[in-house]
Formats: sequence, structure tokens, C-alpha cells
Amino acid sequence: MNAALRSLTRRPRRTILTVAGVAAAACAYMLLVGSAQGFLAQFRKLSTLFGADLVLLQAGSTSPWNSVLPVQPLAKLGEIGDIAGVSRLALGKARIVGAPFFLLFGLDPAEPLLGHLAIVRGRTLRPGADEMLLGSLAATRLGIGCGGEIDVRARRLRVVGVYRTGHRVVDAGGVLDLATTQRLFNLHDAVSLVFLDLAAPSAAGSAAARITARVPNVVVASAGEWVESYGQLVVVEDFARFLAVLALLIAVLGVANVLHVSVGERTQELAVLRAIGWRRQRVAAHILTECGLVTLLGAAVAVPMAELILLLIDSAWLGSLETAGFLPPHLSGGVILEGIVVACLAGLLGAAAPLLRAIRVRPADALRGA
Amino acid sequence: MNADPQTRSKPDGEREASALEAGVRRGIAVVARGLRKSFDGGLVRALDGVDLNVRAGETVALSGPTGCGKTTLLSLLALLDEPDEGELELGGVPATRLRPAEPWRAANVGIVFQLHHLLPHLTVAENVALPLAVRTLSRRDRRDRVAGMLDRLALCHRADTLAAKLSGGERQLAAVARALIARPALLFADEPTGSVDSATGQVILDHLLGWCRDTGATLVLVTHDAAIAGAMDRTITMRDGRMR
Ligand SMILES: Nc1ncnc2c1ncn2[C@@H]1O[C@H](COP(=O)(O)OP(=O)(O)OP(=O)(O)O)[C@@H](O)[C@H]1O
Ligand SMILES: [Mg+2]
Repeated sequence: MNAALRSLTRRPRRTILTVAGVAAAACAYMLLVGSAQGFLAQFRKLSTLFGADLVLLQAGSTSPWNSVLPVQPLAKLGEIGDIAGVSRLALGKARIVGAPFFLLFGLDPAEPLLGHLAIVRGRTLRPGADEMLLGSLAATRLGIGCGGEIDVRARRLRVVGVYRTGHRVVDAGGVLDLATTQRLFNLHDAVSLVFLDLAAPSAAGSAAARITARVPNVVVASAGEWVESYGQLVVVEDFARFLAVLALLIAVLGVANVLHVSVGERTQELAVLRAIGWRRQRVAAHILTECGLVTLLGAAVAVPMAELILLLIDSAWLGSLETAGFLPPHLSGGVILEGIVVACLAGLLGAAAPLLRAIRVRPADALRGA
Repeated sequence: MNADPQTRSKPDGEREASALEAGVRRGIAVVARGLRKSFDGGLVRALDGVDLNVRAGETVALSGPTGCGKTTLLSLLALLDEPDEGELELGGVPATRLRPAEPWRAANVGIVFQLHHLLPHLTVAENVALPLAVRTLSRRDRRDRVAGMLDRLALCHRADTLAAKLSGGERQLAAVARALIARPALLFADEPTGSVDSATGQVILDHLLGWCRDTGATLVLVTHDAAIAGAMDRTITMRDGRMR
């Protein structure tokens, strides 16, 4: 332990480089997996955000943004019974000054959904007016508050209030009057999704069956799982898993390389230790301790390093409104733990090659030149 | 001086009556018969049947043209490597019974390499103490022994200097201190004066011979220098992997 510590502290430059190498690998892992998981979590949270019992989406649509529900079939909802409230939502994406990918949520002020929205500044929308509610994240990032104006598709909208849902994607967007949204995006009277509040939420199953039977081209999902019905999520999930494996590979190779070089430089030194009477086990323990310390140190450095990078991306300086919406501002405890475990695993696997090299050192080489 | 044969025979409870010392008392340090060693799958015959006897307490110079196998022979005698063929007894004990060699080497053998091979990131005192790391000694004993050895080699003022910062001669002196710290009965040196000026070379030689005189240790020293060889009890010349 002492010898390993000395070997590290007395060669600070090499130690710093080695630790940085391990940290970079562990950091890459945490960022890749953390961002993928964060994205998924944001997406999933959409499900319950609107607090309805059932959600209608267009059969065969691949994401909420290209779900189109024409209004005529929806008229049949009146025949279903048990429905306490209907909220229509029209989704749109627009390029505005300061954000190339700005999400817009069109809601009817007369329907329940807008009432669920917590307005933190200003007031809610007036029907039919060219007004907008801005998400708290968008308000901060764009530097626009109540009374400000935003041009969407060449139409000037006044910001009359700021809302906060706690959902970063939604808070990075804006809410418009439904009719205004339909006009801006040429939707006529179509909407993207319809949220239903039931008189008896426990009867959601039978209500869903009745809707499916009467309203054509519609998928009915419970509020908790409508997001899951999108295949996109599966793709993202697979991709996240792929990234995790890739990150693990990068981590293992990175750590292995760094440790291998650091031990390889010293075969002569190890041969001398063998020659003056250190047994193979002792040399191996020395190298293992050193690798272990470097790995732990690297993992410890990786956490603040990843946090700092996320902070930079989340800041207005490096990031954008879109990354702010979809990237988590912090690593979750789970990802940090996973990153540390992965770093240790990578250290263990990565130490194997240098360890093999160290125990293969021939003491006779100590007599020969370096 | 804490390094006479008496203190050496009952010091720190580990090396009492080691096999080597038993043999040394019978007067034999090294007996080698027909040692062969080749490298690169037999392509290079470094040793081609070496016979050698060295009495206990004898100082022997090993010389011969470059590539004749001196370093290879030394590595076999110090059990740093194994012969392909042949028999080797150290202190009357077959080398095969002395494995694993490291504890045996730690207790009985001191080696001075051609290049000092100090660990550059350690201080002189830490380098000299390295062979004691495998012994059960109290911290205090260890410190006292290192201090005594540095005193003997007039290196006290360099004790806390990093090895990387020493002059060439100081490095080699520190390497000698490291070789002697475990109070070895067998000393091997591979051109210990090859990389230093002749004055420092003489100092190093005096220390090695002084150690043998004081403790009765045996020395096998590789050298190309006739004057140095002349200071030894006997000179053995090798050629093409054999004794000439
Ligand atoms: N590990 C090795 N692999 C391959 N060949 C080796 C190895 N060690 C030694 N040899 C070869 O064995 C022969 C003897 O080498 P050795 O180092 O013992 O010579 P030497 O007498 O010490 O020479 P020098 O005076 O130049 O130090 C040489 O031809 C050398 O190239
Ligand atoms: Mg040689």
C-alpha cells in the first residue's frame, strides 16, 4: 500500500494523466447513459403530466407530433357516456428567434387541461387571442417575460403568462390557444391528442373498449401508458442500451490502455524488485493496489467532471433550449452508482493485462540494460 | 560495525542458520557443473557447459569478451534465471531446493547491476530499504540499518534525495548500499564500475571487497578491467559460453 501510494504521489504527472484517462472513460459512460435515461424519463413523464384518465391518439402514428385526429369522429364521444371532461391538444414545432426547435402546445381555455397548468406569473389565455403562455425554462432561457412578444410562423404573439409543470420538455415550450395553433399550423379542426377525464376512473377499461368500438382510426390508452404505445420509445431504449455497452467498452479499453502503458514503462523497475527479493505475488499486489487506487480516484473525479459538463450544456452559454429540455440537469444517483461500478469493473478488467505483464517480468532482465 | 559474521548468524530471526551459511561454514559457496543456457529457441547459446567452483569468502573476477555469457552466468548463480541443463549448488544446497528463489535471494544475495537501476521516484534511503521490505523488521531497526549502511558508504547527506537527482557515482554507491543492506553472504556484481569514473570505481570496489573482508561474504564480479580483476583473489576468463 505504502509503496503503491509512493509510486503514485511521487510521479504526479503520470498519476494525473492516468487518473484523467480513467475519469474520462467513466465520465463518458455516465454522460451517455445518463442522457439516454434522462431523455426516456422526460418522455415517460409526459404520460402522467396532463393528469387525465384516457388518451386518444391516431392509430398508426409514430409520435405525438404526427398524430392527427379529425374532429368529426370525435363528435361520437358524446354517445359514450361517463365522460366528465374532454381536452383537445394540438402539438406544433416552430423555429423562433433563440430556439430552432420550439414546442408549442395548443389548448382550449374552456377545457379542463389548461386549468391543470400552474401559472406562476401573469394570467391564463383568452380564447381566440394571439396570446401565448411561456414555459418557465423557455422564459429564463429566452429572456422573455409577461408582456414580451414572440413571432411564430410570421405571427406576433404576446406572452401573457409563465407556467411551470416541472417537466423540462414542456417547460421549455409554450402554450397557445387551440384555435390559434390550428390556424398557425394549417390543422383546420384536427388535433394531435385528446385527453379524457372519466366520471368513474375505475371504469376506464370498459370506456376504452366502447370508444374503440365506435370511433374509427383511434387508439385508446390509459393516461399512464400512452407514451409507451409509441414505438419510438423502444428505439430510444435500445439505443440507450447500445450506448451503455459502447460506453462500457470505451471505459474498459481506455482504462486498460492507460494502466497498461503506466505498467509497461516500468517493467525494468519491476524486474529489479524481483531481483532484490520481492516475490511475484508482492509485485502483483503492488500493481493491483496501484491500479485500484487510480481507478477509484478516476471514478471519484469522473462524477464532478460529468456534473460540470452537464452544467455547461445546461447553461445558456453552451447549451440550447432543446438540450435544456431533454438532457437531465444532474446525474441521477443510479447513474452515478452505475458509473462508479463500471469504472471499478473497467479497472478490474483493465488491470488484467498490465498485471499479466507485471507477473511475467523476468527477474533476469534486471541485469540487462533498460 | 554491525556486520560481522556473528551478528549475521543470529540477527532478525529470519535468516538464522540459512542453508547458504551452513554451506559457507563448510567452505563451499558455489558449485556449478555443465551449466547450459540458450535463448531464442536454442538459436543463441549463451552458456555452453560451464563448470565453476567458488570457495566461501573468495572474491572472483569474471572476465571475457563481450557476449561470452558473463551476465547470463551471473543471473543463473543468483537464481534470477534457470539453466536449461546442468547442476548448481549454492552453499552445498542444490539450487532446485532453493525455489521460490525470492526469499532465498532476499536473505542471502546482494546484486549490483551494471546500471544502478535505482527507483527514480524514491529517495536514496527508500531505495536502500527496498530489500528490507520483505523482511519482518521493526520500523526502527529498518531505519537504523539503513542509516548505518549509508554511513558506511558516506551517503548520509544524500539520504533524502530522490535517486533521479543523484550524480552517476552517487547512484552506483547507493546501489551498492542496497545490495549490502540485507547483509548478504553472496555478492554478485555485473561491471559495477563500468558507468563511473575510475576514482569512484575504486571507491565502489573498496566497499565491495571491504564487505567481504569484514563479513566473510563471497563475491563474483564481472569486469573488463585488468586492474580490478587484479584486486580479486582469482580471475576466471570465459569465452563463447565456456570457461577458458
Ligand atoms: N534474454 C535474452 N534473449 C536473447 N539473447 C540473449 C538474452 N540474454 C543474453 N542473450 C545472448 O546471450 C549471449 C550472452 O549474453 P551475455 O549478456 O551473457 O554476455 P556478456 O558476456 O554479459 O556480454 P557483455 O560483456 O557485453 O555484457 C549474447 O549473445 C546475448 O545476445
Ligand atoms: Mg553483460
